[in-house]
Amino acid sequence: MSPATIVLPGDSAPVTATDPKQVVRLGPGLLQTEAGIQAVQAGYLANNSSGNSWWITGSKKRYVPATGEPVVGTIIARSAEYYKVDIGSAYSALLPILAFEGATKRNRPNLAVGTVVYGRLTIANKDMEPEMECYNSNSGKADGYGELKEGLVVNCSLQLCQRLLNPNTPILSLLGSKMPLDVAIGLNGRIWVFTKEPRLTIFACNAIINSEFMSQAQCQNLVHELFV
Amino acid sequence: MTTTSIRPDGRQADQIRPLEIVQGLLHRPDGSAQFALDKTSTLAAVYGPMEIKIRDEKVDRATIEVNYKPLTGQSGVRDRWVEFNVRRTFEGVVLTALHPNTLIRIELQESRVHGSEISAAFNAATMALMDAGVPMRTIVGSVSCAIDDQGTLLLDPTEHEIETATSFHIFAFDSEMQGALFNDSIGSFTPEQYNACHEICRKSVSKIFSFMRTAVEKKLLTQVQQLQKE
Amino acid sequence: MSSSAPSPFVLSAAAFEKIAPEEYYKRFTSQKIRPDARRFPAFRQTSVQINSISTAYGSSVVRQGNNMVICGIKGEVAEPKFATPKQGYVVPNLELSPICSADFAPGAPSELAQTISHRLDQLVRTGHLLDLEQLCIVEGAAVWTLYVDITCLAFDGNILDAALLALTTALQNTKLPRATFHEETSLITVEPTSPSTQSADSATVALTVARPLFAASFACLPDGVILADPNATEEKVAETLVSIVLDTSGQLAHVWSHGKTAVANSPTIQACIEQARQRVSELQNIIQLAAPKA
Repeated sequence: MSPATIVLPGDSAPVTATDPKQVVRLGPGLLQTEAGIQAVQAGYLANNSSGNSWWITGSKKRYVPATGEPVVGTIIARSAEYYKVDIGSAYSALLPILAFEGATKRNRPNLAVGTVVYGRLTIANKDMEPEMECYNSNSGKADGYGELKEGLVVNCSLQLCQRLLNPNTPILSLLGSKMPLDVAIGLNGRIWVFTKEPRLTIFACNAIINSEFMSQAQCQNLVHELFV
Repeated sequence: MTTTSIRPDGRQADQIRPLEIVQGLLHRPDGSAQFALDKTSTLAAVYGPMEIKIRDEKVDRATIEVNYKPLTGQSGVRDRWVEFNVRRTFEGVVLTALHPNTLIRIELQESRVHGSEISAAFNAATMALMDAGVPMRTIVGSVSCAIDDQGTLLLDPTEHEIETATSFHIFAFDSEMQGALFNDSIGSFTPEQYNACHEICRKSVSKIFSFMRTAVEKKLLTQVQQLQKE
Repeated sequence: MSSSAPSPFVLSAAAFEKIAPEEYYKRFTSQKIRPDARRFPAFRQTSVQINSISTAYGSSVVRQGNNMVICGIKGEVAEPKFATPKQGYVVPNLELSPICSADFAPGAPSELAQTISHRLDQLVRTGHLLDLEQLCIVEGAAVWTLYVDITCLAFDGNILDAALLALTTALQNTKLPRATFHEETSLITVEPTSPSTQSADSATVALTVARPLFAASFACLPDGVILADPNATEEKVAETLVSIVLDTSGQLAHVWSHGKTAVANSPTIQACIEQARQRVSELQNIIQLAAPKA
């Protein structure tokens, strides 16, 4: 399937199963109606390598929570049991105070309002407030989640975040070849960046944001010019 | 309809003005678009799904709010009328059940006024909703037409043509183009004239739809290029 | 239900209507009847009462089923626009206050009220309901502005039909006081008469409505069901609402359809126009009954 199949809302999507025995799964932007499988968002039709999961990649800035996705959020309130975390969706996420690595009733993290955290959504349901955790509840380990100290958070489109998680996307490795940097990518359209110097952090953030519509060569040029 | 009749701006009676669409031109909203019919142009911004005041909350679907701002002067009853119709139409088009307890806000601003603004508003709203990735069961396209005192149908009329017309008709269609999702006709006309207006608008809305498609494809192409290289 | 002891699992009709209004209506429409015992093409009983407000230049009270609107017309002398030196102004305003239904909140006029007000204004001007030049007192200097205030006292859907009927009948029975222009002072004096005193005294000028317009609205439900004159509940369950405005010669003045599904120009609209024609002659009879005896 060529990635250039572009559909608009209301178009019937040419979804086919490569292996007819397998169940076809529909992802974001596709809906099964009486008339068949229909697109409900503008974008191009994409499928996974096995050809049985289909979805639409289009432009989107507003985050709609989905279970299991990593997010970068800001604590906006706290109560005895929960932190309230703004993740850019319609409703803020609940983060249980004990959902951190090594947290117990006696020893729990004391995070102030305004703290940036990196976590994973555990509950995402259209009828409920989303819930998240800052550790892997299976292993009890942090797995990279937790409080994000210092650094800078920038907002970007949801597609850019998804693309940055793909190791083939050039910009992060290009930046990494010039300087050490820590990056946390939330699929909610927020990226946290930390380097030794605030100046370099701002450089890196701008480079990431500007890379959205650039080809590999253009990205190389951009990074090269930044470090002349 | 006579094809020899040329209008003051050089168009045939059944010709729409040059179209222009820009998507995602505003930085802050979740989706935005500008839709222009030559010298008529409307800017649309979409926010949401976002948090809603408890008073306006609906437990089984999203609430749609539309705000229409005129080019000059204070907004008045005409703008409420536009808002009412745009809201009614998109309530049936946006899949509101997918985002219960939330608000989807459509902001419309006239940016140039030269006739058929309401059609431009419908089209701009569709493009902005698409830009925001709000789920919809179809796209909406709108075309207006007027009948002058000679009984000639004028498609996509200008301000002057509307002022001197005996009747003015606005139609909005879904992509199936079977019948109008929204229609507002005013003036003095016969059922036959009404049918003729409906038919001519229905036929020409496909031009709007294919232009919308081109605009979306152009915007997405930049992304596709990068992905192919990766 | 025949059992005397009510089982807790029996759903009352009121609860059923609340939980699944569409399904509730389907049970009725499949039997070709509506919950208020009307047939599909039946309009609610309509009555018009003329000039019951003695202080207004013209007035009318319209009852349409549970709907009740009252319309009063007052005038004011104003300067005409430069481009139209002979034309006066008509300013229709519909008020849907919390008095008439719980659906309307206090404060600024609701979206629906403003939408209908705009509609009435368009029908007067673009629909040529009234020849605005008869509101001229002195060309280029003084014209009448007529404030048409329509207040809804009880709301039960289909407000456009009731409001337009009130506006048309009130204008048809409006008598303007005679205004005189004094050249030496360039002042206008309006003779202080009580305009609604029904005697055809010489101190008043009766307004003529050039093109009386009448509305008929319909609610379209799934499966091609068309309900004439929908009440407030029917408007809520409707897929699409269609309003047709006709003059007495059968010429269309306005078609308005809006909603979830595409019906315009399908046979539905044609059927609506046909039904609207019958309704117009029905309304003309009602108006004739209400007309003051000469």
